[in-house]
Amino acid sequence: MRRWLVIIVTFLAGVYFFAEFFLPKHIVLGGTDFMWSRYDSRILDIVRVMFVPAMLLGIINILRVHGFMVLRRRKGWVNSLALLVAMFVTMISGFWGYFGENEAAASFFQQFLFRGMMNNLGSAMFSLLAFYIVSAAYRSFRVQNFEAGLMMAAALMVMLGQIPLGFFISEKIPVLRNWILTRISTPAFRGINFGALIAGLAMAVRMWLSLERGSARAGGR
Amino acid sequence: MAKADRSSWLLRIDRRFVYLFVLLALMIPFLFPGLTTKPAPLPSAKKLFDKVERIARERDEAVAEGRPYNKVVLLSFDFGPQTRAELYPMAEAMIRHLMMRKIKFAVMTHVPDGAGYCEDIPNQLAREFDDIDYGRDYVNFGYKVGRTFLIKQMGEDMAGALKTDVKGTPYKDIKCLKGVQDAGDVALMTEITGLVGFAEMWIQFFASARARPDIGHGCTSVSIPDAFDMLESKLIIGLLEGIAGAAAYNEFIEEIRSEDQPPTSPKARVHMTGQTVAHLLLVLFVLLGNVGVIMSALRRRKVAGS
Repeated sequence: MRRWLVIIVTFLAGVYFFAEFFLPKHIVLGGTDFMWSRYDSRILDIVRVMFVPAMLLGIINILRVHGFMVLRRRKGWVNSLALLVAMFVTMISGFWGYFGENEAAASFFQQFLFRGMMNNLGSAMFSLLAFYIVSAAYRSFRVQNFEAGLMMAAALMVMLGQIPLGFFISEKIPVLRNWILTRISTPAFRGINFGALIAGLAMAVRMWLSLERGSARAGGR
Repeated sequence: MAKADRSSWLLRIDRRFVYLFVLLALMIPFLFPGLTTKPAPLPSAKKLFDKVERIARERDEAVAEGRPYNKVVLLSFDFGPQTRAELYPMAEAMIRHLMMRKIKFAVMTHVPDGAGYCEDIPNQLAREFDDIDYGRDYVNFGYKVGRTFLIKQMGEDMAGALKTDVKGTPYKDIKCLKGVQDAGDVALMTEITGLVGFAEMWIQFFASARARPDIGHGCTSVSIPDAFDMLESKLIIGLLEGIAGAAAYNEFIEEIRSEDQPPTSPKARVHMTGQTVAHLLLVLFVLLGNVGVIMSALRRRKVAGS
């Protein structure tokens, strides 16, 4: 029964959006003016409401996985504890600032947690990429054959064309970089995108008709 | 006993030395801000700049002719601390330009990390300008859930989709959005993100029966090839290509800035110089590695021949 409910709801939701996209906005039938977009606001509200239990599931999952690690003192439990503490401090200060209309709590959240910690820690983590990329490029960009040489020449040209120095060495470097991007890279990207979108379309149709193994069938168990 | 291959060190530079050189290269522009390089005048950034100038001209013409002008610019800051170094100066440059030209705008984000930037960037810049007020000149909608559903509904009914701003003010009470009903009332929408698929969401779904607004895009350097696809097919009218795009945009602003207006931030130029030096270092290391490969191959051939 549950499986059929999932199949029917999925199909009807698909029909609504499919019809809304292809049919005229207003359909007049026997004096009744049916407008497709009149339900959009309600659908958006449903989507918003559905996000809440999804977030709740995420919190429960984090509590289960990392709470277990802390309680059993498993390897790396200190990291799990740090995660749980950070999650609760952020949650409490957010709720306190919002519901209590407390300026100090809101400021603590914005100043210390967001600007002071999250901003800097997130940026620091991502900046490690710069170090790894240079090291990885040095190790892997070795011209072993013609194709590798071609790829390296194109990469160096795009890189030089992107930075101002390339422009000041010769105005032709950015032109060459644009040529590589627009005449070689873009068509290749389009080809990949076409393939991916056709596959996505096929997948969407399978999901819509509940032919996909993971979507509706799991719901019946 | 065979003589040691003197070129082999080029193939085996310790990664800790590589890291040290990268650190030094990135620190140079921060330690010596006077050593920053002038950005290249990127045509893709100029297109976006010219569009904002066109909006200001259209507004001025409408006001001069006594016609109402209710259009706004919409900006979506879908980035977090990870890509802040490239995208924050970009968002700052665009908002500075809008404030300079007194064009009304709204900011929002689809990612929770972006909410802080929606708050910080316009508020900090508004303090630099004397006559820019929250609500009258700009509004912040903060983090909004729904992505494609939200954008689709915004296209037809902005008030119904966005409901309230970040302070809880109902849409109908926000002064700068008076008369802004759907996507047809948005003069320009600009998506600033390093995430793939976000600009496409606006292109696909942000339209009303009346019109589809022009869409601009600011992306990280790594997603430029993807964004060029949209620029080439004219799905977006302009593109800020990574930090170089932000620095170029600031240069365009400097060209039109009057004496009484605050100067642009040097942040974009400093970050761009750091990136430039790091790119040059990368090129240098790649070349060193390949010189090592060639010298080793020559030596092997010589040994085999003897």
